[in-house]
Amino acid sequence: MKKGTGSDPFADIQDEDREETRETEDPTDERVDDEPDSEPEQTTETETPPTDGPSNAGDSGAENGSSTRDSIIGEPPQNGANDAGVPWVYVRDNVKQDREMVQFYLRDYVVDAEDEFVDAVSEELGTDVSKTDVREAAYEAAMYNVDEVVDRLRAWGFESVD
Amino acid sequence: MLTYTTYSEAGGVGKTTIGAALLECHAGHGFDVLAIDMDQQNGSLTYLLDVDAPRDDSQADNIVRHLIDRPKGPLDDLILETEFGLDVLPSHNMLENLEDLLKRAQQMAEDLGEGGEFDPYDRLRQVLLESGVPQKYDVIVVDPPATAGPHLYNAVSATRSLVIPVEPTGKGMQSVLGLEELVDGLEDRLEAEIGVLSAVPNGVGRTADQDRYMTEIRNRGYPAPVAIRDRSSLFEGCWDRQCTPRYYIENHRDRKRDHEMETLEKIDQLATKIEEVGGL
Repeated sequence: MKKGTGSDPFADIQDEDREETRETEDPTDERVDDEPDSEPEQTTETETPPTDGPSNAGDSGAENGSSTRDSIIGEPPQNGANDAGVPWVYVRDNVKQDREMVQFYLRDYVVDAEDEFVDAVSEELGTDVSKTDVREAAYEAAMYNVDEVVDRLRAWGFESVD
Repeated sequence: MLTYTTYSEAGGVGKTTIGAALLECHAGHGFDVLAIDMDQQNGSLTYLLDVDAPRDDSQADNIVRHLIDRPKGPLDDLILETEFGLDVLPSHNMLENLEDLLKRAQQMAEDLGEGGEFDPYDRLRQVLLESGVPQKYDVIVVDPPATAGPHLYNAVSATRSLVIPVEPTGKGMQSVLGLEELVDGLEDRLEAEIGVLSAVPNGVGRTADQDRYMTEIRNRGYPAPVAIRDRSSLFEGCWDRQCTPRYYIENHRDRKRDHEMETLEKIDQLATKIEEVGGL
């Protein structure tokens, strides 16, 4: 329990009115010349693994011709470990700050595996991470790995109709 | 948008009266205000605000029918105007059986294979989301009964913020502690963050007591911008005449009393503070 307002119960309906606040806060992109070795590989994801994924469902694929396919997900709106300033994880007041709640429906075997997953991630990082953070990171990571998601869905039985 | 639940674990601490006074202030500040009465008791907001709601007609559409997915019409049609500048979604006697009704509705949803979509503690928020009602208001306040249960859970899930009148006694402070546990559990259950907009020590006697309790509440990390002195005569008058405190003083007191005007002023300050914190 914290002081101040809680999360927004009607975020779903207010999103539309609020879109414009997003674009202002792009982190300054100053990492061109200094190349820290801890750079995550997300920015170099130009070998376009995602192209075969979702595009065969919707046939139009409007601007597919250009070689640099836009990334599915953009840069996070807050400072990261490699940007100038204090990383988001340190400036937020609590784990739910700036986050919208979305409902996920998960099968039991996934729910059962979550704790172990969180532990494994925490162990790798050498610090405790909340389930909420791990979940979002996992989802974000999946957005850079469309192929793998597609494979998993195929394994569940999703297949193209033709 | 500002949404909150007025809640206290102890009954009779002026929760509903203070809630009504706050609502009236929000309306007076130019906001569109909706009060949702989830309290099945006779001494509820619906009674205080003197609206003519068919609370014992089980055939009539009412909030519970919407919560259990058996509405008889749009939610909008249930909302009544009051003469205090705010609207109210009134209470209904069916709220007495809310827990049981929700269980049955959930069972039915499960039988139909829709069980995952029916969360008995998140029904009010869902119903509001689907109704388009929240878009019409700047402030929505839910007044649940002073007991933990599905009324409270639905209220908190739909508002995510709390205003907590506190009886300035050891027992009252104890109820704040109880509330902390309850809210922690709710946050996990609802996967939502719950905030405390303000604690409101109410019925405070001497100034020294007032200071002590304000300090204690603030030391626990809760904002408590004002404490309300013991105003039982004013609050009882409100119930007697079925109106808000400001309306009572303006229309039913032969003269304005300084100490009562001061109380109204404090409640107005509190409303302003809550609006600020709520981002209005």
